[in-house]
Order: sequence, then structure tokens, then C-alpha cells
Amino acid sequence: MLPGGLDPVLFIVAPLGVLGVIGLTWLFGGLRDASLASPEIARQRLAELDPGFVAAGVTLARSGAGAIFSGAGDHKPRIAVLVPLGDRFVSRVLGPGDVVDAAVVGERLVIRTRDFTGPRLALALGAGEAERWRERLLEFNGGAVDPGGPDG
Amino acid sequence: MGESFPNIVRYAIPFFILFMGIEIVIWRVFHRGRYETRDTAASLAMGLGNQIVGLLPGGFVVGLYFALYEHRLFDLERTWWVFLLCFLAEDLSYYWFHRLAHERRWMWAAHINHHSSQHYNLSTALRQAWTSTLALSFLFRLPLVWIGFEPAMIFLFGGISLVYQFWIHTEVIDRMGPFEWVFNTPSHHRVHHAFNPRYLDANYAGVLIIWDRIFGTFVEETAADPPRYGLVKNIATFNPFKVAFHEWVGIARDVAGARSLRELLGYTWGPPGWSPDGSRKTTATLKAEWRARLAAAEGAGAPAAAVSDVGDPG
Repeated sequence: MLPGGLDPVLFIVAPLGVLGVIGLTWLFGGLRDASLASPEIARQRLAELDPGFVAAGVTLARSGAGAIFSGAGDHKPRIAVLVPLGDRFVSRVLGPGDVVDAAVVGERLVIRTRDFTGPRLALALGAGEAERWRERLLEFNGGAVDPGGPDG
Repeated sequence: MGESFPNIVRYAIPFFILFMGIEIVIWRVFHRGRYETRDTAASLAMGLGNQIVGLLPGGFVVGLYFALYEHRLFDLERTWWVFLLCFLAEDLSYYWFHRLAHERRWMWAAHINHHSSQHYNLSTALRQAWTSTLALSFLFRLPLVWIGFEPAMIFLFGGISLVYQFWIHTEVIDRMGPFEWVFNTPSHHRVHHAFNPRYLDANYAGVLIIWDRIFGTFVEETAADPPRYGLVKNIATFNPFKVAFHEWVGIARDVAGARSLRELLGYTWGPPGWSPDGSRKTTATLKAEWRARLAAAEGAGAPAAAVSDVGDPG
């Protein structure tokens, strides 16, 4: 036992082992983010993650680092977003009321949502596309989106 | 009451680390399985946190078990058949704990942590909950104590079950033949961690898969629909604190907006995804939608596997 009755397995072996495993994973895999090679691949990923969302238009972010989709055949206007999380993607389907604010920051569209785990969704779409999608978000959110938006 | 048993999990920790190292090398050399640095770090932080957080309420649970044991129905000695019965009873109680941890949101709020990775490897096994006691997981072993099984014996088999379930979190091992008829295996547990509609809420077993076969929750892995791991709505973070508490935050937000006792109970003890107006999706809804897509595709002459793989082509 360590001073204070602490268990050496729990307080020395386990933390060192954890560091070793993380180090080995980093050595072999690095820190690469997932990317989308084409709009078709983006549609496929979204269909896997949100099979109920029928995508119409899609815009790919620069370097394939995410995508944004408009919904089709739906009674409620919705927009879906794919963003990388490590070597995987996370999808969010945004409907009226889900967006807290949206802004164009440089080349990026930055959307703030009520999601606790990832409230900030950023997509490098280019200034023109970013503005177009921001207007769409404004539209279906009934003008509730703050045009001042986040500061990036 | 006899001597206590060794803490199996403590002795297993060095082997957990060793086997993760081996699996990482297999991933690198043979391209089987997959690791991601930040995902692995989050999983292991959750595992470490679980061990540390567990020290706090652990005393309360042990005290409760020993207090109840004083009022046991039978005096069960340490004979071979008592050990066997205790193993079976503990594994059965685990099945029901685990099943309700998926079917009731209050319990899911703790267990969701374990399913929050989109990867499936040995580090995922260690992505354990920090709030199990709050989620009332300890209740499920109380009947065993009341019957008369020694708490130490129950903890022994609980530890064995936990250690057993470590090695089944892998994509490196494929199918295991007749062993799969009785025991939980990597294939069975891959199904459990998948969010493909076909696989949702299935294979709750700890050690013995027979409970799923008996209670109708067994689903076999199929090559036509490879498991996709994670949650129906995946979390967008590697932050272990957000991983640990995100569903509790969701419950708190919903409860704050509840307009009746029915809504309050639905948001806390209804199935995950429950909402008063049905606007969110439960497992039952997701499975019904998937079956509808499947039927529509079959009607159109498309192969069923294509639908189960990617849903609507969009």
C-alpha cells in the first residue's frame, strides 16, 4: 500500500498503463480527423447516422471536414450537419428552435445549438456558401437566429 | 460469515493494459479492429474515474448489503452448489439490471456512458459509468443478499463478470462456434453496442447469453448488416465530464420543462427517447421505422440488407 492506504495498482499502475496505451495509440494512429471524399459519401454517412432524414441539397466543407444538408420531403424544414469527431462523424438534424445562433466567421459557418455535448458546429464552407446556409437557418428558425452570432 | 474474496478487478488491471497493447499492435499490423487516440483517452479516463468515483458510494452499498444480510432468509454455506447458484443468480440479476439500464431513462443516464464511443475495442470496455449508484444499479443484487448469498460472494461473481466482459469488447475475434450457444462472446456483444435498428436493445447478457435466449432479447450478428457502434444520437465530445453527465443534463432540462406528473415520470422513468408528443424517437419507434423502410424496399425489389445498412439513400 502507498502512504495513506492508497492502492498502488489503482494509483500508480493504472495511470501509467493508461498513459502507455494512449501513447501507443497516438504513435500508431496520430490525431487524424475524418474527412468526406465526395457529396455522395457525405450522403451515405448521413444515411447511416440519421436514416430518417431525407437529404436534398448538400454542401461539403473544405477538405471534406463536414457537410451540411437541406431536408427533402419533410413537413418541417430541417437542416442536417455532419462534423468530424476524431476519425468518425457526428450528425445533427436541426429543426426550428434547435439553433441558438448562427454566424459567418471568415470562411466558416458557425452554428450554436442547445446540444450539451457539442454546442458549436463549425463548417469551412467558403464565405458565400456560409452566408447562404446562414440565411436558410435564419429562415426556418423564424428569424430567431442572432445575426451577430458567435465570435468564432 | 467467512473470509472475504480477493478483488478480481484489481488483479486484472495490469492484464487489461497488456491486452489493450496487444490489440493495438494487431490493429496496426493486421488492420483488425480500430483505435482512435482521443476516443481511447476518453474511454480510459472514464475507466479511471469509475474506479475513483466508485470508492465514495461503495461504502454505502457494502453497508446496505451487510445490513440486509443480517435479515437473510437462509444460511448458505460456502459449498460448491452455493457458489454455482450464486454465479447463476448474479448473472441473472446482471441481465435484468442491464436490460433496465437500456429501457429506463434514469438508469440509462449512467449506462449511456459505456455506449458513447463510436469505436469498439478493449478500451471501450473500460468506458464505465460514474453515476451507477445514483442510477440505482445496486438494487438488483439485493434479492440475492436477502435470500442468503454472502455479499462477499456476490461481489466476487460481480468482479468475475466485469473481468469476463472485458475481452468481449473486440473486433479482433470473429465467431466462436458452439461456445456462442451458452456464453456471451465478442460477436454477441458487438450486436449489443451497435445502433443499427436491427440490433437495438439486444444481448444484455453478462457471462451467459442464455438469459437473452430465454427472455427473447437475443439477436445474432449478421454479415449483411455490420454493426455501427455508438448511440442513436452520438455525442459530440471526448470530454469525460460531458460524457459522464450529458444525459443527466438532458433529464434536468426536460424535467424543468415538464408540465404534469405524467411528463415528469415519462422524462425520468420512460424509455430513452420518450416525449409527451412523440416527437422524439424511442427504440420501438426506430425499429418500426426501420421495418417500414425494409418493407418498402422489399416491395420495390431492393435487397433488404441495403436498407438495413444505410437506411434511406437520401
